[in-house]
Amino acid sequence: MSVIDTPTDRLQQLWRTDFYEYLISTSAIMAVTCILYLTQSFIAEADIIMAYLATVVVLAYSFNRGPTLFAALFSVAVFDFFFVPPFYTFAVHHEKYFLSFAVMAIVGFMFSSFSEKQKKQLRLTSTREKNLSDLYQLARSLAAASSLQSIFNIANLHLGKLCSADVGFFKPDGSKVTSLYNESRIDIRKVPMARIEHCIGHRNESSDHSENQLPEYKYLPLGQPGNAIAAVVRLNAPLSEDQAHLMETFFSLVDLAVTRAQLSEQAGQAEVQAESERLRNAVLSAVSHDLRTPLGTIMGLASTLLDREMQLDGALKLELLETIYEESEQLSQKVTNLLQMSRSLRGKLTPNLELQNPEEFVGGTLSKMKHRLSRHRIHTGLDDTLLVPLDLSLMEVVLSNLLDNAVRFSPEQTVITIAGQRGQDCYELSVSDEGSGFKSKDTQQLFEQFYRADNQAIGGTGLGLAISKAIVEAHGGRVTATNHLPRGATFTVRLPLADIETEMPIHE
Amino acid sequence: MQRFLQVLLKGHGYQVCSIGSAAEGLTLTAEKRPAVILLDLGLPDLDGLDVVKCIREWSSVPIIVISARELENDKVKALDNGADDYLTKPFGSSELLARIRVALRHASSQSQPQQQVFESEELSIDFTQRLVRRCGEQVHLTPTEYRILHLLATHSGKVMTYRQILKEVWGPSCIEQNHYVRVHMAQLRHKLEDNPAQPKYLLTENGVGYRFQIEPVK
Repeated sequence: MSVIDTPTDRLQQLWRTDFYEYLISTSAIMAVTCILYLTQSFIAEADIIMAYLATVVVLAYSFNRGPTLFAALFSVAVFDFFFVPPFYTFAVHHEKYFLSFAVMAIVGFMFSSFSEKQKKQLRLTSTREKNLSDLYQLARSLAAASSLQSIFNIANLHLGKLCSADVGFFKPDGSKVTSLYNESRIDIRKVPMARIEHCIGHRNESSDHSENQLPEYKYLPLGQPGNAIAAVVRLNAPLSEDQAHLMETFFSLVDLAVTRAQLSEQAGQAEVQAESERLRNAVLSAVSHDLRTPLGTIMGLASTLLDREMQLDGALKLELLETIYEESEQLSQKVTNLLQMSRSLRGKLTPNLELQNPEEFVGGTLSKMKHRLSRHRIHTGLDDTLLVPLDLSLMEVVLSNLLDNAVRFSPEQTVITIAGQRGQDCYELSVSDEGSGFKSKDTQQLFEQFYRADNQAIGGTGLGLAISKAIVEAHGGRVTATNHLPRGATFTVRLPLADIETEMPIHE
Repeated sequence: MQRFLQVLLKGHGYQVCSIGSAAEGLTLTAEKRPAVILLDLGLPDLDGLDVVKCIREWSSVPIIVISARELENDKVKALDNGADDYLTKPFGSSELLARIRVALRHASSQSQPQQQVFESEELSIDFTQRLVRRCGEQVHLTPTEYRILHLLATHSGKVMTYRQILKEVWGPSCIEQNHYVRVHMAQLRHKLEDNPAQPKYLLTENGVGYRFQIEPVK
């Protein structure tokens, strides 16, 4: 049997089953006739009629109307031929037999139509049951779907099971139609704006765009009134009354799901807005507080230098100038952090991954921070045979934040170690200092925005680690903090390695 | 910013002309033929990139691009389009002066024969004999490594973008393959540097390219 049901295929199949049924009916009647013929001396004429009727009833139970009716008429003919005198002719001597013939024919006819009706009923019931279970499945999948796209996808998938139709989802957008979901490639030129608007404007009636030719288009409004979406159904075959009814139920389910999704989206947006509002306020207060500190120092020192009445010797002047330079450098780092944070808050933190040599990336960052790091001793130990996929400018922010932290929290002339090696499925880059470390209760909050360790004497916006964490996580990695012995803190960044060959190829 | 630059540069004996728009800048460049142009990419009237292209059509005057951090990509594009160097705001005065000196040196050496020997305390490169020595010992370089080193050294002090290096060393068909350069640079650094993570000569400009820096023996 072919998978595709074309009308000719179906006709052929019908003919084939009917042909077998006719064949079996004929053989059954002939077999019964044989048995009756051989045993006719033991049984009465009425029994013979009963036997034929019984056979017809049995056939009617499982066969179609045609073969059953044929079996009934055939049995009449055979009965006449073999058992009604004169034997072996179709002639009839006694009129009483006509009544028997009539009864046999009528019983056969009645049974064939009864069984036909019953079978129809059975088919109908099983289709309805299947439809119901389809709808149930649809309702279940829709309940699990959270986004509009997944709802559209589910609807299209289930509609295909229901009838020979596809669905696309469209939205009026100004003067043109935007397709929200059109996997089944409904020709957008065949979807006139006026129809969509009409369908959305008159929510209580579904409009049919019928030109009495296939494919036929149906328009159904979905979702909230102010934010309505139109489902356009392309019917590849006409719908039966049952199917039409089913489709109505189907789309009322989809309508509910779409409305629910739209509402939850709005709720989500409101929540995000409230959250970003809260963050903005926090950023503002942090900025005004923490940018003012270095600015205050710079202004104070500059005004000291400007003061003509003050007698400053050369060395002192130089010291003041150096402090101004350092403070402005810190200010610059803070501004960079803020900028990065505002980018990540806008959801623009998508790293542009490129294979980088960690040695080079660390070297580049160190040279940029040369001045800031000049009072500490920097040790590097890096595995040089790896290429790691990372976004250079973002990871530079991470590393400079970690280094900046190390500088701030450890005394001058101590060692800051930068180590990098291959870990399990990842690249581990760590920055260790010989400072005071952090209290273990801080570990949880360390990476939160605006969190600052108890040591308030040391400035900072409390943004650096939060940003670093956001960046590393955007890379699919993790950042952790531990204390190490005898003293100091270690921050470790783990970045996933790409599946591609990251060992450095040796050429030539 | 302009004020700061004027004070600084005049203090070091340069003549400075400062202009607020691209249109004026272009006419003035044609009239006064400056020795170096400092170009801020955030101009009010024209895209800084177009200014670079425009000047490069008829002049090879050194252009040093100054950009804010957000315009990182523009900076690389400006270099690829023919700008000589770049500075990211905020920067210190010593950095700016060093860049200007390098740019001027390159501009003057264009007419003269190329420098054939580079020498510092540890490293010596002799291009006539294709010899590279580190602490007196000869270093063996592969042909690609040598070509990269040669390219960087002939433009010493100046930043070379990945694109420029790829184009010169591998040819125009490879200009998207940044990691080629990274791999060879890593090997080159291991051969020439004491500590490749804190290089002295082959400096990385993250996201932009490389700069070869050699301080002659003092």
